[in-house]
Amino acid sequence: MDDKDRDREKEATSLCRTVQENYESAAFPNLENNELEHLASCSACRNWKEDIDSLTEMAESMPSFDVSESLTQKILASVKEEERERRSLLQTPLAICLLSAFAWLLLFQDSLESVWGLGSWLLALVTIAGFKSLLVDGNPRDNLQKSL
Amino acid sequence: MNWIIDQVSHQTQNRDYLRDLSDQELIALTLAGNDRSFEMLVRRHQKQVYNFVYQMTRNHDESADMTQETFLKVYRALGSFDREREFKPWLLRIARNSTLNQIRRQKPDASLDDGEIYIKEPSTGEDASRRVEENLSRAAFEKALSDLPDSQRDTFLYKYHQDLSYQEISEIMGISISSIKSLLFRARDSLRKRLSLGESGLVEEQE
Repeated sequence: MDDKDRDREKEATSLCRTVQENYESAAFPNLENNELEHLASCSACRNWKEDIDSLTEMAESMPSFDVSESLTQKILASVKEEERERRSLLQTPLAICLLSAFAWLLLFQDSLESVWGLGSWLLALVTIAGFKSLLVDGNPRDNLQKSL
Repeated sequence: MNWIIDQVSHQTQNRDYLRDLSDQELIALTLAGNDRSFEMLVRRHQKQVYNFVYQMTRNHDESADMTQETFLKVYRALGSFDREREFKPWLLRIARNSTLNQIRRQKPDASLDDGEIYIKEPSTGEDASRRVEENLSRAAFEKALSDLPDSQRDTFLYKYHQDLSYQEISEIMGISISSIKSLLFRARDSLRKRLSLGESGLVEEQE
C-alpha cells in the first residue's frame, strides 16, 4: 500500500466517522451532499446505517402502556390526602392561637369600661368570625374547588 | 402569571379550558389552590411517567407504585419548581431518582416480568410464524438491551422509546449533552456487536 492509498483510506475513515456522527445527531436530510454521496457509495456506512435504523425502529416499536383510571384516581387521592394533612398541620397552631386570644379577651378584657373593653369585644367577634370560616366554611381552596 | 390566575378563576367552570394551558400555567394555578390543574398535569404526563418507570422496573405493579410516588413528590416540591424551566424533564428526573432508589432497596435477584408484554392473542398460519419471529427478534433485542450498562440502556430508551431530546435527557440524568451523545454511541455500538442483523430482523449473535 503506497502513501496515496493510505491517505485515501484515512480520508474515507474520517468521512465515515463524520457521516456516522452527523447521522446520529441530526435528521437524515441534514447531511451534507458529500456525506450523502459517501453514504450511498460506502458499503460499511450503508450497513452501519441499516443497523442503526433497525435498532431505533426496534426501540420505537417497544410497547407503550396506557394508565388505568384507577391508578389516576389513586394518584389524585394520595395528593388530596397529602393536602389534607398539610392543612391540618397548619390549622392546629392557628386554632390554638385563636382560642388563646379569645380566652384572654373574655377573661381579662371584658370588664374594662373603656375603649379597650369595646375593642376586646370587637376582637372577640372577629375571632368568632374567624372560627366560623375555619370550621364551617372550610378552607378557601375547598371553596374554589367546589365552585369548579 | 397572576393575570392568568385571575382569568382562569372565572373560566375554570369549563374543565376543557385547562387542557389548553401549558404545564407552567397549570403549576401556577395549582399553587394558587386549584387542584383541578394538578389533576390535568397528572392526566397529561402519567402515561409517559408510567412507561418511563416501566422501562427501568419491567414490573407493572412497581411502575404503578412509582408513578404514584413520583406525582406525590412532585406535588410536595411544586413550590420549589423553577417555572422558567421545562416541567417534563424535572418530572422524569424525580421519577428516575425515585425508581433508582427503589431498585437499590430491592433484592438484586428480583425477577423481571418481561416476556409477558409481547404475548398477544393466538393466531394461525403465516401470521403466527411471523409473530413468533417478531417476538424472537424482540426478545433478542430486549436481552441485548438489558445486558447494557444502566446508563447506556436508559439513554438509548429515553432517546428512541420515550422520544426525548438530548437537552431533556441531559436534564433528567444530570449530565452534559456530549456525555449523552457518547453514551448513546456506545449503547448502539454495543447493541450492534451483540446482535447481527439478518433478513428477517434481529438475530442474536452466536457466541
